[in-house]
Amino acid sequence: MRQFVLALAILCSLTLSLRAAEPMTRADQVRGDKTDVEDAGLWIYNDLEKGIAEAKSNGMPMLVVFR
Amino acid sequence: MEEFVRVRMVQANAMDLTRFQFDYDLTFAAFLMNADGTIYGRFGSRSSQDAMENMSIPGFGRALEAALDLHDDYPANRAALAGKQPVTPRYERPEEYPSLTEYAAELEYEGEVVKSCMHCHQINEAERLLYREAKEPVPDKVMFPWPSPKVIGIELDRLEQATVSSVAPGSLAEDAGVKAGDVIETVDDQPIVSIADIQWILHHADDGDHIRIRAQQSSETRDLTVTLPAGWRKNTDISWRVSSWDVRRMGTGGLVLRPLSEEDRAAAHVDGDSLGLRVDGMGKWPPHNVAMQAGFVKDDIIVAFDGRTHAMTQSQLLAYTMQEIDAGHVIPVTVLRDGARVDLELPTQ
Repeated sequence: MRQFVLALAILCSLTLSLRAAEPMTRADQVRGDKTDVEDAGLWIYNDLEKGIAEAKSNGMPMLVVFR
Repeated sequence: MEEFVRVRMVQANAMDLTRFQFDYDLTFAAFLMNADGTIYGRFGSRSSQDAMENMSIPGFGRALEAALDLHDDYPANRAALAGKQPVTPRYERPEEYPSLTEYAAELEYEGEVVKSCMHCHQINEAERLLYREAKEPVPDKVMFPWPSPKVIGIELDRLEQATVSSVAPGSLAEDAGVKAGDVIETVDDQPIVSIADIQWILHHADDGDHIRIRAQQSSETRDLTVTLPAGWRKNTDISWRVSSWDVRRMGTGGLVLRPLSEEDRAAAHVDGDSLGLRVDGMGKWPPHNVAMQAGFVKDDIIVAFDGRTHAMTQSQLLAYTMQEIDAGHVIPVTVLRDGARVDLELPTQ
């Protein structure tokens, strides 16, 4: 059950940034997606090396999503 | 949320292909891994037009849970994870493919951000194009990548980690003794966290390989073996793949084909052993409009293709064009149109 909630939270956080956006051009959506995800602070955005460094530092496993 | 370092990658540009090997036609793919690059498992599967057929939030949760267990046991379980690790790719970065050199490593967020973004499926297209331009047949592994376990007769419950929901009668899996309700613990000694992990093994499997499955049900553990016969991959459906559009461009002039229903076959007098694919659509703009220019119309029924009249799926026909026909060849095609046979010539690219 705990992992179900975890998975649901992770996937929702990936979609929230898109749903919150006003209707706009595709380019604006891409730029807005970057801003929204970074502001939410739940994901490291498009920076694999930063994620690796953090995981090495705290010993945690990594979840790398291509989306 | 606190148990993983979460990284979202949004581009294929500069993707490390020595590390991230997955079904590049997916719109969602996940790696569960150690910071040292060791992969615990993959998540993300698709085998049809329904993008969610093989994925679910509960299934994702199961995969996360399994990955945490593997992380807890790491590095003692390093040997068990060896088979999951990436193989040496042709190129280290997608931009090294000849057809993708125009892409830079970084997106142009201040400029043409959309145009600057390479999509993952373009990697599959670039790989096939290498063979096409070299006038070499596209190998089955490239033509039919990441086979679903359905190809060997296993339907997995998308809500679970790796639980068999059904086994196709007469299938390779049934012959091996796989049963509905089996929990697949390992395949070729690799711990399975999701359907994608099984696809990884099938992706690299050759004709004649013996796939070893450890299945558990009702406290009983069974070791089973599925032997892959010649041509087993050719039953894979590739028509849902975004990258198949480029195959259609090259091989069928942009035609989108659908199988005939039994009723359609009866109405058209096309028996079950004969070729019968309906034109469901076609490209209207260059370079995907070659079939339209050649005179094909919607609802034409293809009954002969390059002299072949035996039944083929759309996927098998597409593979035929990439494996048996050189670019530039003109394919003679016969269609049924309003009850009459019409002969057309279909240029390939």
